[in-house]
Amino acid sequence: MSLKNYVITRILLAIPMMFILLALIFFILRIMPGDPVLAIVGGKAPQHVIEKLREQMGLNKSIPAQFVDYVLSMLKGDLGKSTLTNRPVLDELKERLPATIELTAFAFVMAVLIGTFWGAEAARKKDRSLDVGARMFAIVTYAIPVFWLGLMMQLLFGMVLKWLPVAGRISPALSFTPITGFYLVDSIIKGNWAALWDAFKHLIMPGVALGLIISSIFLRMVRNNTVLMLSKDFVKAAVARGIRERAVLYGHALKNALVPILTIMGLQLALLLAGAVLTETTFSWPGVGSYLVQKIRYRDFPAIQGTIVIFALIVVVISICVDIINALVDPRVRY
Amino acid sequence: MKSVLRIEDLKVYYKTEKGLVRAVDGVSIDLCERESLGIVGESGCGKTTMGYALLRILPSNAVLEGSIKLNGLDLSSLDQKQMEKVRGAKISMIFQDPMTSLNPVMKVRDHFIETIQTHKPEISEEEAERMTANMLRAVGIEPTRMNEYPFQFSGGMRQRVMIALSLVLNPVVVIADEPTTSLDVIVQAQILDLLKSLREKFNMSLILITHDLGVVAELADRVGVMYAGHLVEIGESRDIYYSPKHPYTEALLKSIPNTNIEDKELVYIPGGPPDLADPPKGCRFEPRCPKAMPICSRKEPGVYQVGRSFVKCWLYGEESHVSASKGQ
Repeated sequence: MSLKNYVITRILLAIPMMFILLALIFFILRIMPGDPVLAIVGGKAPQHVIEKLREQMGLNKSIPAQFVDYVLSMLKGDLGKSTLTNRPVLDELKERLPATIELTAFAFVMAVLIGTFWGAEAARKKDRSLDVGARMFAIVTYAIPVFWLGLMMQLLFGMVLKWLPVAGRISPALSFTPITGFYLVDSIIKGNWAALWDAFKHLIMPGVALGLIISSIFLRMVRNNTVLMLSKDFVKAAVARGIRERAVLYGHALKNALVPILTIMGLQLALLLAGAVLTETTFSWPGVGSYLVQKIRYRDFPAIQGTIVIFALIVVVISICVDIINALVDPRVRY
Repeated sequence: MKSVLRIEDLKVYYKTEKGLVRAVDGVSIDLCERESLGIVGESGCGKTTMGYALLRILPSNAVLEGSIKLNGLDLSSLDQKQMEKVRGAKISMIFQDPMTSLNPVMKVRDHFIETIQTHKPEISEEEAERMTANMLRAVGIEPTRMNEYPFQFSGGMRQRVMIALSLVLNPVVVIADEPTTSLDVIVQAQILDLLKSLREKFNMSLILITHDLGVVAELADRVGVMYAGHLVEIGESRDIYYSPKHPYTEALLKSIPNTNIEDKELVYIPGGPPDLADPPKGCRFEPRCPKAMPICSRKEPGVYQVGRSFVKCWLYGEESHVSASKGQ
């Protein structure tokens, strides 16, 4: 199978996957306790008001009919209106999403860099201090809950040392107006270096807190897999051809070690979104995670549903990307 | 003939929990230009360890002693950085299992380009590709297949790729470690023929490590027989086959199964090789030797010349006291 056909097949396969996810989200929300109408009008509203609202929201229809309505509106890209703000959920999410993407991307890149390089070097220096240190680091960071780590960092770097801001994405004093919503990108576009530095300083703590958790997983996996690959015949053969140690480690051992890890990395990226909910709440980061927490508090069902659909969509897109990257790295996948 | 590789009193010890394991214990060999030397012995006799020692790719718990001189350059004194320049360029190795010896996520072409450009960065990619095509043609592979991945080749084809890869920089010495063991008999014969013709074409010296005496008979000018870390006999192939001197060599030859249906029983050497962490004080073959004498268990025999062969055995101790330590 050529790479092109593989990609097409993979994307087509995502359609039923997305449909199943949509169905799951729909039915889980319907099973959840609590009446969205009562959540809006409160318990003491007259019966006819409740009935009218129920009709407006389409909740008087049968469950299958509601499901069809829901799927059709999703296909049109209509996530409904927030019952709290009465604004389209999609618009609200569009404002929030860049913040979350910026945060998770920072965390992910950090985790991948730490995991890959430290992991590979630890494998090369197996059982020496660099390797033992890597193992200790992995256990400690994996065991720490992200919100607790966040609080401790706020206390140390924000309150005691006063190096970094404790909350938000940018100092309000800068009166920064975003273009794309990605503050780092926006400030570069504008050439506003003060804003870039300020936005970056805001990003460091939540990004590191979030990234450290998954870096430990990458670190362990890269290290163990690379140790395994270093014992393989093709590594010995490469050494016997005079390939430099560094090229053997990164070009031969690590490249093969990463094949199974790529899939895990993709899954972890999806998990990061869940971690982002906690991190954003801890650092008052105005992303999708803190949005979701806020909406759950007010039982804003369309907003909750819309957010989860977007999360699901992101996970599906990530898994497609992971499979394509996998096929690029490991030719055996495509055949 | 000019000597290209001179191994003197080579010792490789592995540090293990049981203590020092003397995998190779005082082996001396001279390899001549364009010579093909077979090293035979049963599993665990130290033949592969010796091959790894020549390339200095031993595991980290190994201790190397003695000297390995490749055209006068003492490989045993080089550090790993200096060794990187020698490996693949002046001395290279063909491994036992072609199925696992190529990087599965790298195109065959890239194996060659990487090897060529590591040693000769001045060679352009186009030139390296041309060299690759020539080399593949020489081992009987369609050059267009260089853009394929190892898993698209069969075992025999992969071994051809490995051979081409080990020869692409025209090394002085090629070590083939059981190059045909994991292949089926028909492919084995093809690979042996190929090695034979390439050795002449590329003027290289070949060290063929194997436990298969048939392979050695096919390819080797001289044969060294190893037992428990010692080189017990070395001589012309013909002499080794038709008039083996060492009792171990004799026993080894008798134990080759043949297709003659008259011989119903398989002959084997009773007992097993000694524990190399605690080898016998005298001759290492003494516990299994049908011709053992009292002196054999007390004192290690020296190397004696018998005819054209050199034998490490007390049987020849009295007759000729030529204590030549090198097999010429």
